Amino acid sequence: MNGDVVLAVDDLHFAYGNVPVLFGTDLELRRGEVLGVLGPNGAGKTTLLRVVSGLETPASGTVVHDGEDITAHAPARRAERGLVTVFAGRSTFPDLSVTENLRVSGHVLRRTPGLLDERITETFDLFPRLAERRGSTASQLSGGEQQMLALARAFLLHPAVLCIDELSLGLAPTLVDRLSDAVRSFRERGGSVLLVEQSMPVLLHAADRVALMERGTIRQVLADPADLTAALEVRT
Amino acid sequence: MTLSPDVFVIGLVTGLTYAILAVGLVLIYRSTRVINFAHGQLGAASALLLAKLVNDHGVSWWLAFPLALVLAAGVGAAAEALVIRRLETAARTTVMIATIGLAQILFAVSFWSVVRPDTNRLAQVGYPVPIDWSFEVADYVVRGADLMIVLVVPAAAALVALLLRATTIGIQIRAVAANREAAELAALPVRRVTMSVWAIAGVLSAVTAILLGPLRGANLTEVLGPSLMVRALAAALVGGMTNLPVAFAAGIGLGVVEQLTFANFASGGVTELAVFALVMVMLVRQAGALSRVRRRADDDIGLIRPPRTLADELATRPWAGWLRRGPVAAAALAAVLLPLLPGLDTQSKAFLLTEVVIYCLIGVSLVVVTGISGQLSMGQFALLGLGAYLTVRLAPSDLSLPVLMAIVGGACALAAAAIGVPAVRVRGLFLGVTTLSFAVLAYGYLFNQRWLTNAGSSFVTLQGTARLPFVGDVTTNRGLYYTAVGTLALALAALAALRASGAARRLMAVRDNPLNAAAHGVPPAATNIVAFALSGFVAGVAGVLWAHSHVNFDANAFPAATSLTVLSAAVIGGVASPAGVILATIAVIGVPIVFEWSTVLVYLFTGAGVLAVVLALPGGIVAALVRARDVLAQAIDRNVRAAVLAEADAPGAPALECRGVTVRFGGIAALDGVSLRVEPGETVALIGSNGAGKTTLMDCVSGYLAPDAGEVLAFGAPVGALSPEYRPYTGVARTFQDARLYQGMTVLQCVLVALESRMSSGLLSSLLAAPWERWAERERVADAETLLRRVGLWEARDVLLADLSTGARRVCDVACAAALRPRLLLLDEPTAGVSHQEVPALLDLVRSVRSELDCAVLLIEHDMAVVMRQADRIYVLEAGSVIAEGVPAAIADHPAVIEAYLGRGAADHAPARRRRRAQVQARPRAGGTR
Repeated sequence: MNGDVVLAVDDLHFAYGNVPVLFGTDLELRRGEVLGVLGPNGAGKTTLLRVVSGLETPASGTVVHDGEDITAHAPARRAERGLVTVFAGRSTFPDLSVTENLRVSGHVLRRTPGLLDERITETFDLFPRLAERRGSTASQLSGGEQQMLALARAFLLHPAVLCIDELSLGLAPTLVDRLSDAVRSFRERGGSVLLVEQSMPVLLHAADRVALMERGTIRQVLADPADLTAALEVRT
Repeated sequence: MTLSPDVFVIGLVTGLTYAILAVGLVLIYRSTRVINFAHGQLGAASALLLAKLVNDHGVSWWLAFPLALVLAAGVGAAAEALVIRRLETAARTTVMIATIGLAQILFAVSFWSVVRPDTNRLAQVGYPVPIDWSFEVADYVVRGADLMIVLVVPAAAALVALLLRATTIGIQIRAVAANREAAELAALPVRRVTMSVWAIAGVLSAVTAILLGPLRGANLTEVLGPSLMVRALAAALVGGMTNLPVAFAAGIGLGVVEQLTFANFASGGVTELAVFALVMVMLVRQAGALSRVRRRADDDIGLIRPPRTLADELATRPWAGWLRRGPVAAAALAAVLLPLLPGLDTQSKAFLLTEVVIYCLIGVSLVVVTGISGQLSMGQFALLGLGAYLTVRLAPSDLSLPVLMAIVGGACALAAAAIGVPAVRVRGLFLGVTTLSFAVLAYGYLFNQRWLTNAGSSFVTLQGTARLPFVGDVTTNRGLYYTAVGTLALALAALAALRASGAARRLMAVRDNPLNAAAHGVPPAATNIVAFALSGFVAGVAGVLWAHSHVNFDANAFPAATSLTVLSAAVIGGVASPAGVILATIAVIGVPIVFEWSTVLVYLFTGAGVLAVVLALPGGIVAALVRARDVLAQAIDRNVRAAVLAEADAPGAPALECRGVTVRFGGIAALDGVSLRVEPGETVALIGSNGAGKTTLMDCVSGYLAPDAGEVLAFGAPVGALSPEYRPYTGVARTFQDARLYQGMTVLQCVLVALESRMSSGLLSSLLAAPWERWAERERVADAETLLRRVGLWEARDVLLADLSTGARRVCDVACAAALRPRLLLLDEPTAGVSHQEVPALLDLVRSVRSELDCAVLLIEHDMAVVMRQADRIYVLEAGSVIAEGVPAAIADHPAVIEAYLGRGAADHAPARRRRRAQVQARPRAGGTR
């Protein structure tokens, strides 16, 4: 296995009942990069992340993290290994306060005394806006704040690999920039990110490489997001 | 109006018990998104065990109490681990039905002597309480038991609230409840959390039961049934099923209101009316909010799969009809003979048998509302009760049974429609709540009303006789039994007719997708209400029979729990299948009734059955029966074939193989060791001069002649001994040289005869004009039309065969053969006597039949041009032996063939073939052959 590769997805096949969604999807995420995945609705991007995160089990194919085959691991075990996934709009606990959201999410940090509180303080430093609203329930937050909370919940764990589904979903451009910056800074600190997106600007801004996904397979991987415009024009 | 303080004190005490039950319901709803009908029973056994330990074994209350709580926590956790967890991905309605099953099992277990205290002793010393003193507040003696409720319930509720708010596990519980997937992704121990919630619910339930013990004594577990649950549910609903403090307060409020009405209205049941109204209002008002809380899937009753029909190739067997008709006939016979059998031939057993048939009728009514329309009805037995009371009320009018049934059924249909009104706004879980609260309302309120009972209490006596037109008085138990059986048969026939109609399709469309149904012009609300009304009608009819059978009864005959038992039986049978529902009803309710076993057993059976079905046997008994039927059909098929065929189809075997077939007429060998093969999909021609044995061979293949020696194998199976009428089984069909068919019948009738082999009609049922015969006939005619249109004979469908041209008769003959869907088609001189112009069209037809059915063809033909064009291979027969075999070109040049058959001019045939084909292509296809 290439030491450079932190997460490898190999020949994934997956179907919801009789509806096949992934047909031999291959993808390699290198250590310390932001790999964007771009594709139209229904291409299987979210399903790919559901399989990577362990919410779904593929019919065939493997997911390898840090050289270990984790295809059959439960989501919890993946999170404990440092593979954390954030699904846009669905990754907060609406009835819980911001602090409670973070406390629950830091469940695995509890084993080291004091670590959770330390990380929560750190997260509030990273997202001051969340600190201001720490007592509000997640459902009371604005869409952007909720997205921020979702990211914060993931950052809290200091994951080695962060998978994000639709960071920009339903957000104002300025907010998107702020969150993209957060992703970039996460990468600066050595993290690797698999960023599933429908928005080109986000990928242009945040991604190191971009994979184009279409009908359940990766069609092409662009070494430079700047080629994106050209690549898409050729295709259409 | 009495507003004395003691009313408020009692109200507070009862209200607190509702409140704590409501807290338990909300807790489970929040974490599992299901209304837990087992909540009351989770801790019931523990509470009884506490009484047993303290009263019978002298254990200290303070030791027994924690023991009981630990046991209850274990029961709750076990319920989660063994049942609820396994239904993680099931429809929420399914989970709710599982909790009903769970409640029934736990109820039955509470009668087990290991947990049940000595009843006499319990009556003497009372349910144990730790504080044994009392004081007076405003004329009301507050006893230790009351004080415990006042102290413990708020403390317990506060503890639960605190646990959820401030502890780690509490936050985790809320997290899992709010977003299970995110909780899983955050590595929360989701399962452990859910299990903890159920353990806590178990403890809450036990605390409730222990507090209620001193007030209710030995009836403790019965008390924890639907009546109490509906009150707690109403309180929980006020809190939107999620808000603990509001649910708690609503519970207290309900208790106070109940006591106020109790003190101020003479006749009981006003509370039930209030609860019913409250539930209705809350549900309709909060329908929107509730559906935001729960996932869309919560509305669904889960996919109701109709029982699988027999596989096509087996359904075409002549005996296949008996697989369907046989059990029906056997059941009818059993129903007629049962009350005459030794042991069952007394009037008292006839009474019990009638009871079983009435339960089956209720089962049928559930098939309509729950099976076809997909709406959970938990109040079906109460509708029967309403019917029974109306029957007593109408008895002085001295109506005959059918008239009475029509009136009472109609009234019950109206009542059911009214209950179904909330279905306009709510579905699934919460619709079940409204129907159950109706059952509670009927028991507690309706059946106590003077306008209905015409008496001071719910106790009534039927005065009058049961009369049937043309039959007369059927008031005896046995007479009523046969009347009930006849009614059930009618209901089943009506149900069968309904299922085959557009009305049932509309119901199912609304069940599966109301929004889409509306887009197709089906009004969801009205359709749902119609389903309720129909089921209400059947329940009302059952009520008429019930009243005549029982004569004396009071409201206690219709407890709400019975409605749940009936629903359980339907679930066990498979709600969509009347046969399954009736079988299950007989098995879990009927058998204990007839053999006069304890009702506790009924609860055990229904509970265990429901859990078995929900967990392991989706589709219920009927699914298992269907599987058994398929196995049986395959076994019969194998045996029938084995008896006559010795072995089954060998894959890859030739369509036809003749090995050394010899037929002797007198001393002359018509066939002398003929061997021949036709591969699947291949067209093989058989040529030879007159008397060469061609038709004799075809008679052997189609079964009209048994060969004296040699073997005939169709698709690898030896068919030598099989008589002709069984040949269609093996996939072999033939036409005849004379193509006479049935001279006195029309074209359509001829094809219908051939279609009989696939969908045969029974003589007796046809004589009786049974509806299924009409449907089968309609299907056959439709198939025949398709076929005749394809061959161009549809316009001539009413022409007598005798009046057709030879060409048209041959086309008809081929159509009849095609109707058998053969895999091997034997054509005996299809062009003989056909006019020159008609030949190409006929050959086109043969080709199209062949390519459509993908069948092999064995063709006897004299017209060499036809043979050359149609055949892939040719066999040449001369004096009973094959003298040559090969592709057409090789045969045309074969010296022996030229010598024996073709004659000198044979070399001309090859070019002739090309000329003819050009002609065929140039000519437009002749429309019809007339």
